[in-house]
Amino acid sequence: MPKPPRFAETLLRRVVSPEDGEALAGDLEEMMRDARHPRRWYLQQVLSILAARTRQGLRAHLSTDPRRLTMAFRQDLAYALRALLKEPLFAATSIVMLALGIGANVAMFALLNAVLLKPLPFADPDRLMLVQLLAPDREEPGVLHPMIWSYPKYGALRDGQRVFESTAVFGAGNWNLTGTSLPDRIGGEYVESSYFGVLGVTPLIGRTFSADETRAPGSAPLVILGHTFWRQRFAGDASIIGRTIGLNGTPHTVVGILPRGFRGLTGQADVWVPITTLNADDLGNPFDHSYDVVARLRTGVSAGQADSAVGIIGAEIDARFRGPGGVPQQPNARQGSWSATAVPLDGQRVAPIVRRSILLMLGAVGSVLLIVCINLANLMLFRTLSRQREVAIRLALGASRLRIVRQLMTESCLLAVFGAAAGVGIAYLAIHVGAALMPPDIRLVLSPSAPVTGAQTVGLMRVGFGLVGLDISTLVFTVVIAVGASMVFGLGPAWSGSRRDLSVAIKARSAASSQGTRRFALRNLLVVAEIALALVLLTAGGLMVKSVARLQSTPLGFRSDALLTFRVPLAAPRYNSRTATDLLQRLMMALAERPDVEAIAFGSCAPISGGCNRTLMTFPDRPTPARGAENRVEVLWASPEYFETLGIRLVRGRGISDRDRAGQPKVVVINETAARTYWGAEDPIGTRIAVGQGGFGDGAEVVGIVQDVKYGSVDLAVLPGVYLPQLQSVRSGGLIFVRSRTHPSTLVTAVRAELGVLDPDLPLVNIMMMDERFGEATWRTRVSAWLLGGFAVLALALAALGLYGVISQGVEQRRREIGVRMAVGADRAHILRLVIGRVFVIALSGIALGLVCAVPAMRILRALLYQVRPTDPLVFSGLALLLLAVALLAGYIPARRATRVDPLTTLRAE
Amino acid sequence: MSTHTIGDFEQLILFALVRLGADAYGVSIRGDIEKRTGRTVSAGALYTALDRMEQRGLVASRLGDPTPQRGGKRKRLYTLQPAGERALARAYESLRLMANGVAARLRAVKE
Repeated sequence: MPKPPRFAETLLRRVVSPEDGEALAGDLEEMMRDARHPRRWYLQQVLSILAARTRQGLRAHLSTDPRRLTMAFRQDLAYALRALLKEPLFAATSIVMLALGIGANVAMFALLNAVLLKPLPFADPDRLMLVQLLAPDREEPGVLHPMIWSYPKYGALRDGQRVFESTAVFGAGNWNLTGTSLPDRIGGEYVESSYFGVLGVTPLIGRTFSADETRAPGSAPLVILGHTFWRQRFAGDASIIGRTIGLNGTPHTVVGILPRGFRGLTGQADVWVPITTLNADDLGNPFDHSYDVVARLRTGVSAGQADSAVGIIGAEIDARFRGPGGVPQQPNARQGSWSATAVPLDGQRVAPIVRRSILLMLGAVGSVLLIVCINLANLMLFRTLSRQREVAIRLALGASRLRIVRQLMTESCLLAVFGAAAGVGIAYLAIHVGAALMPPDIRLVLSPSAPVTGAQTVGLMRVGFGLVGLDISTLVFTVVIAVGASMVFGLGPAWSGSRRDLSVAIKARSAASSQGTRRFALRNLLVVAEIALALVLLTAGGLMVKSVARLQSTPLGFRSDALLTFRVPLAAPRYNSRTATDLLQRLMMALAERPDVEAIAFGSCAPISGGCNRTLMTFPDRPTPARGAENRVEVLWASPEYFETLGIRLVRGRGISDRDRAGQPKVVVINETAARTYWGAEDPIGTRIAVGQGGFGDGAEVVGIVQDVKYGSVDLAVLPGVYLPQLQSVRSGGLIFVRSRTHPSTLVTAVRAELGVLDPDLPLVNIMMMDERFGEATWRTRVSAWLLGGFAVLALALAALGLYGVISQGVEQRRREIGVRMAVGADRAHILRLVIGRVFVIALSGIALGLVCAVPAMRILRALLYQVRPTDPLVFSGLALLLLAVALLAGYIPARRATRVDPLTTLRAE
Repeated sequence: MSTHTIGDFEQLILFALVRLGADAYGVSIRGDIEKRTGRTVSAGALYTALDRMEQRGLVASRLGDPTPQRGGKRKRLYTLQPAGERALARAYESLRLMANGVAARLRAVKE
């Protein structure tokens, strides 16, 4: 005989009375024997009883007629509206506060939703994988870093894999749109034909590339246009298909238009070009790691299986492409084997640090909303206090307590609805202003950067800011927090306001002051809590702002103002390294003659751009260092004018001169860190070193030491660096730096013009003010600081408002008492002390509580801070004092009002 | 809601009470209705209806003796009250009067 489930039995006992329960349980036990799934049936029956009872109970409570119910609701609504209209100031303040709180939350949620929650905007996004090479760390054996692919290595993956439906290689590119009246620089992607199929994108008009069109290097120049680009540049003219547009001077035939909103995995593509149009030498170089690989899982293959399969191919690739790895002269340069891995694309959409910042911001705006709710709860409490007579009379006339609570809650909900509506408006504005303020190609999304080889950071995944917006889930979130907020600020006051203290309330107004004290204690506690929250937010904001200040004042080692940088890609076959260097020389000479150009130079690597080439350095006169203890250096190529143009100070010896050319004795200049690290007390000048790149493996003389420059990122330590004269070690891949006498942006046209004279088809790329580069390198910290700082100021203002409200209402309630005190001889100073003393107690308690909470809370911030400890005493004490000052100010205004109470008027009014 | 009218489901229960006489309790009432009408009766609906009718004085209940086949638990036995009998008779009469002469057509439609 089946036994009824224990849980259901307990539930039944809870729902019905013991005597009913016995018979009921007996009946159910008897009946369950006939059921097909007795235990399930039993539970279902118990639940049906529970549901029926609930329905019954509700119906009995709310009267059975649904018409009466809607009427009551309409009555409540009308009454609530009238009550709010009667106090427009209260209503407006509440709605504005709620709108700010809810709006900030909605905007943050929209961001979170876009970068973390929303499925990627591709077909079946959970089947998409990002395939990465894994390169051994140069310092630590056994450690592997994700890495992008070279084209030959990708070929091995494509041909060797069996776990993916298809794979696609792609890379970001920039082109000069030529042959139009309005030349423009546009972003796009080099792709394999399978790219669109893998992502599930079908063209709006025309077609995508065929497999043949991206099979082998040297394929025909074709192009697919993005929707926005097509609309803006070609007015949405469909006849563009089959015509050509000029990219970098080469006519490309347009074959298709992609649907609206698709910007590629780089998130900023306007055009797509076959990857096989790239230079055959670059594509054929197995160590030119420049491309990402995305793949779609074959049905029935799990992500884990794909990963292990890719790992095996990784080992094959390692065996097949054993090569220079950047340090051809060093036999022991290889620290370990390469491998490969496949990871879900969805997990790669955001860097951990960005994820952390966003969650932190969400926490901050959540706290702001909580403060708003506390303020509103306080206001509501005060309102119920002043409406006590009304409530008491309604209770006396037979209204149930639930009826009163429902009435008061209707008011709260109404406020929350208005607040949420305005909040959505604020969020909408915030998102659009935010989108406009964001630098266009912010990398919200990237893989962990690991400059293992010469290649730059790994991964290009970005989410365009366009993905951030108000969608259904954001609106659902809004409704949830609005309802939650109205519960938080409405339920407590409604409950306590509907207490049946009839006699006290109806009897006399005078009772209110004593009756209110208990509620005042609660209200004081609420204010203490919001001051504490405000202090936590203030310290978070303060620490971030201090980090930004530290970042801004970090010596970069060069002058970033009025400095323009750009790159001229001089690609084969048109240019070899000799002709390329020659063209750069002529361009620089032409520009140097301009009056607005102060200095001009060539360098292989831009400061604060993620790092430069790295190699090993050896001393011919020292013993060969043990494996793992080699001397590692950053290596740069510089023209003679480089140090002067960038404002890099020469510490000792001489810089690079124009006599340091091919055929002359090889020389190098080192930075201070290199001198300190590898020479110590010794004088480097005059000593000889060998450098693993640029043909300097046979040795060169150190002739000078220059100031340290941050080439990596602002918050990273400077690495030992070696500068090679560009004229002794030919290298054309690099940037031109122009120090301008005017605003450097005015030079851009001049540069274009001069370049046009030398070769009209050459594009300029990476044109950027050095200031912009710095801004880009520090944007994340700055945005975090602005936002957190903003929220903290908002919290401070709200807390001050809350304190002000409680104190001034307290003064209002005690007007009579104060009048009496003054009548019996208390002077103004005494009254002021009385009120301010209370402010002081509240503020100090709040600050103490805030400090206790902030110290552990700030640990979350650690990863986002720069050269600031999470417990920075200056920030903590400064902000605590600031908060105290604001609190005292907020309390002083009502205190002053208290001293103006006229004892006669008050007494007469009795 | 008036005390004079009873719902369709309540009528079924009252008919079952008439038929079952002294042995009317949850299990037998449900069994009778399910057997004759083919309707599935949930415990929630059955006991709510019985409770409601008891409150309206249509039926009365008392606890019976415990029987071993139901885990030694007592039965709640229901009996039809005069008010319930009247209500059922009225309901059946109305139905009969309304059905007079048209029931055959209804069957024709059904078939």
